[in-house]
Amino acid sequence: MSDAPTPPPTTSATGAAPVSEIFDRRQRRRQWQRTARAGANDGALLDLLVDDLLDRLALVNRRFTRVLDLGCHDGRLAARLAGDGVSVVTTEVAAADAARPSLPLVVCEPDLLPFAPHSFDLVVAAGSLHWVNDLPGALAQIRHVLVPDGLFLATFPGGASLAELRHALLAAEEDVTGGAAPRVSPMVDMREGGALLQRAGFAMPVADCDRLTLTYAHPMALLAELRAMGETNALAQRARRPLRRDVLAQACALYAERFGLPDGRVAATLEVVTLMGWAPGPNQPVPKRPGSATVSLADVLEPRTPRD
Amino acid sequence: MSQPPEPAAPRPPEPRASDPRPLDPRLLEILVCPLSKGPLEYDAAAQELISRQAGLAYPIRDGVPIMLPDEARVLEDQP
Repeated sequence: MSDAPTPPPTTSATGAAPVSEIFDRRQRRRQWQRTARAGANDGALLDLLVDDLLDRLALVNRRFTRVLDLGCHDGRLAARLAGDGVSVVTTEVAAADAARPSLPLVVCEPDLLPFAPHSFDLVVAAGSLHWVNDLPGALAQIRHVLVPDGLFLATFPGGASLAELRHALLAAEEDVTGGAAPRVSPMVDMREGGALLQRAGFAMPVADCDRLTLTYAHPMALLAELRAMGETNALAQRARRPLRRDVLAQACALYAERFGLPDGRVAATLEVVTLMGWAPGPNQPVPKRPGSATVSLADVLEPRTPRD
Repeated sequence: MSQPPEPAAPRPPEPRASDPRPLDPRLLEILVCPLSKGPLEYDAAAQELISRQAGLAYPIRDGVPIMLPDEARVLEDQP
């Protein structure tokens, strides 16, 4: 990456100093609009992330009434959360009529949230935070828009996802052209997730991951699904030229050779990272201060008068 | 797409482009400027949300507030 050409700096409308970012925000918006226009955003991968999030939410014994769905795609998650007495606000990085949810929509970036403090008691994000340039900033802002004791719950693909594709594309491009450009986004390592939540001030942070192996008839079927979801390369330092046909053919061959299954299909890893945390509030369980115990642990572990 | 059809309301068919969907009033209560986190003024005629602190006017397109600083109009009449 170090010898890659420097991307054109993005300049904000405020005339702020140019900053270089991981992801190209405008490219993300174009991808999303293209995807939404095609009406093809019905990826099964997204359903996995949505279902996982709803499963986690079902375990929380609390009723939420003011919900923010951050990165709502076509609104499929929001539609399942909305209901009697529950108002849901959705956001996406661009507006597209074809995929417009029937719920209130705000176009914004997750790391530039336009909501007042204490606006929501639940913030959910399924399959959107892996595109955020400033994840620590986004988490801190999410905590601010939550009421005290409000819940944040997110699922997104993590660092081990698409490792096979990343490997095949890099190896093939190097084989054919003698060089390689990043074509698969870097993704958040789950182990960093908990630390990020804590740094953003969330109480009782939980970060874990679930590794799934999906199978596809051909590597091209995986690429087609990713494209249909709008999950194509938006790295600011991405190669501006499209992937060459011979490189793609070589990548498919390598993919099938190294990650093929006995039945002729190919495997693709999807790591679903779940982040969960509560905005600090009264009456939450907190750890006791060190040295504040009134009973010795030794007494508990080795009672002086054993029962028998 | 499995979106439920909107309930048929007795209003003129073919809403024109000059007849955009209104901004959801619930959003007005919670929206702030994404840069300054300061208050916004709603200009219903121009369909803009104005942040005096940031000197930006965020457009509202078909009832959807576009809260992206790089798509906002820079206010010229700043003191």
